[in-house]
Order: sequence, then C-alpha cells, then structure tokens
Amino acid sequence: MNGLQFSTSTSSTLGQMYPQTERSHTSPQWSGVVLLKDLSRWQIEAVRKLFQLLALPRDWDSYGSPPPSEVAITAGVRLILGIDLDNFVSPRVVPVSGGGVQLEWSLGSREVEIEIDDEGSVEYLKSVGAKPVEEGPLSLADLPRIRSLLTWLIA
Amino acid sequence: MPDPNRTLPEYSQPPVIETVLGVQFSPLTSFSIPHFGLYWAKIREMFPNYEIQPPLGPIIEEFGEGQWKHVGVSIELAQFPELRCWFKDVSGTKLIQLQRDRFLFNWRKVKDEDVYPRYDNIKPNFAEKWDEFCGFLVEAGLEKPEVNHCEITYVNHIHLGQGWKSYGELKNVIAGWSGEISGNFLPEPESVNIGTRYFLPNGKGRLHVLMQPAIRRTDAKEILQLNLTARGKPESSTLQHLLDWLDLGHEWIVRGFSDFTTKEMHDLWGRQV
Repeated sequence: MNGLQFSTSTSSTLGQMYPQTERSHTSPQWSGVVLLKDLSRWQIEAVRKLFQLLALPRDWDSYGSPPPSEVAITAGVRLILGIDLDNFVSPRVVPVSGGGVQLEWSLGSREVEIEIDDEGSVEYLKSVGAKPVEEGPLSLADLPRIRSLLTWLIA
Repeated sequence: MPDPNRTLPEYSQPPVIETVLGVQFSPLTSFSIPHFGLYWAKIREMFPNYEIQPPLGPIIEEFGEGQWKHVGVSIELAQFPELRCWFKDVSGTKLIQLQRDRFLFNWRKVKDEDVYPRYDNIKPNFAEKWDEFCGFLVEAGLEKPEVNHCEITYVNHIHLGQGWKSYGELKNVIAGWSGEISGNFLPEPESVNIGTRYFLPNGKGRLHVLMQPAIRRTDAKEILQLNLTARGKPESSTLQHLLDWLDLGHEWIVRGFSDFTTKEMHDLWGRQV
C-alpha cells in the first residue's frame, strides 16, 4: 500500500457541512447516492425522508397525483445539503399533489414551509401561530436567504 | 456455477451495483456540439435517452514526485462550452458517457432482481461501443483518439445490517480496520471514511479504494459505498492494448476487493473461488 487516509467523525463532533451534489463532477458514477461525510444528523434524516417519497405510488392522495418528481426530490436534497446549520431540527417532509414536495420546520409558534413543485420551482411561507406573515418565491442558489429563513425560527 | 478455469475470486451475490469501463484521450480538437448529435444518431436505437452533464475533469496518474492528480483548472479558448453527454438505454442499466476527451460505458443495477452480468460480458459491450465510436470519428473525418488513460470502476453497496449495524462494527466488513483506539476516551465513531491507493506493477497505474457512508436514492437505505477504481496508461491506443489494460485493472479490483473486505463478508456474498 502506498497511500492511506482514514477519516472519522463522532457524534460529539458534528463536522462542518459542505454542499454536496449527488454526483460529483469528478466521478463517472451513475447510481445516485448522497455521501454522508460532513452531513449533520438532521440533514441525513431529511435526505432519507425525501428519497422515501420516490417510492410513493401514483394516486397516493386518491386524487390521481403522481409521486414527487425526480426534479422536486433533487431540488429538495440540494436545498438540505446547502444549509450550513449544525444541530438543527429535521423538517417534516411531505408530498404535494401534482408531483411536488414540501419541507416544514416549526419551532414554538413559528413555522417555515418551503414548497418545491414538480418542475423545481420553490416558494416559501413564514407563519406565526398559524398566521402567514411572509411568503414568496425562493432561489435554491440563494443560500444566505434560505439560511436566514431558518434562523428566523430560532431568533 | 463458477467457471472451473477461473482463478480470480468470484461471488454468487456480489455487492457490486455499478461498473464503469472507459478511456481518456487527448481532447478531440475538431469534435464539436453537432458531433454529439451525429454520434447519437448512430446509437439512438439502443440508447434513446440522453442527459447533458458537466464534464469530468481530466485525471492523470503520475508516479514519483507529483503522484496522481486531477489536472487543475486551466483557462483556454474553447470552441464551445465543454459538456458531457449521457446516452441511456431504455432499461436504465446501460449508459454511454461522452465528452471531448472521455468515453465511458456504465452498467448499473436498477432492480433488486438485476444480476451483475460479469466483466466477461461487460468488456465486449465496451469494446463494441468504443470501436463503433472510433468508426464514427473516421466517418466524420475527425482525428483518431490518442488514449492516455484507461479506467475501470466498481461501485459496491454494503447495506446497513448486512454484516454491520454501526461503525463500531466496521471491522466485520473491512479487513484492515480494527477500530481500536489507544485510550478509552473516544466513543464509537458516528461515521468513517476510508481512502487508500496502491501502485499497480511496473508503473502501469494505480488502484484507488474509497469507502464512504451514503444514502441510496432508489430506496433511501443507508449504505457503505465501496468504490474501487483502477487507472493507468495503456501500451498504445489499439483496442487490444486497451482491453489488456482493462483486464489488469479488473484483476486488481477483484483481488483488491477480496483483500480489502473480510472473510465473513465473503461468506455473505457467496464466495465461490
């Protein structure tokens, strides 16, 4: 052997999180995986919930809806991987009729919902005590905006 | 039934879920965007679906000082935006990846019942497609590719619960990992990544082994992804020399995989030879 590298992390030292795409530009791999290195436990849970939605059958809502689209799930994963908050709470991840997906965080009376439609368009809603206080479109590339939405929950 | 003439390790239920056989060559200077479409027309019956992907960076295995490296970011006056085209078959199990300096042939497992078709069946598929691509380049009046690297990758997925239930049990899977620490302070690792590399004989290349925890998209399962990649320079660009090199890379991957993993896991995967 002429090269060796080990790396580990323990539950008491959550690693710094880096955005990771499902397929590295340096890898010819085709099979889709999300590498867990440097991800926080809440992110791992969220990614797992998102992938589980791909197995939903058509008509899961009894209104003829398809399961969340690959595009929506991929966008959801990118959003989760882009959030550099350790020790955060994992969102509720729910399918949306028409092939979308919604991520929901709530802390106390504050709630943030991020909805991704089947084509990957994203909208958010902030509410306090179930009353909407702000909503609008969101770009997945705007990581500072996404971060501020989530830190509002704990502000 | 295992082949009685086979000397390489063989498993009845290997954890391999993807293989990649391919070549890297000097960038084809005359190859431009229309050529992707012209080539697709040749293979479209078998590979009717396509996707555009960002290009793979060039990788050169070097020896001595400098070791192996990704060739760094370079600025050049490109004729067109660099891209990589994926051409996919209907079953979603076969893929041709093409860019100006790379040609790769992937097989992957899609359904649980899909059986790894074995290297001896995948290699002729690669050879046929590469030969067809070279024929296309001749027909299109383009230059002959000067291959500078061959590469072969095996992607293995080892499920949580298949021989290991936590990273404290990783020694049950990875032969070289004891998991022991010299004191008693650290708890069981939450996660472990392992990366090793080995010289192939006579400067023919390297074997890279990378074990990374991951979640699989298809079924949301937590897995250890164990990738073995052999890369190196073939003797020449002739098909025979490319296949000779791939045989060497394959041998190192199969023997390397067997050395890297434990006998207990070999039993689970049904080692026959």
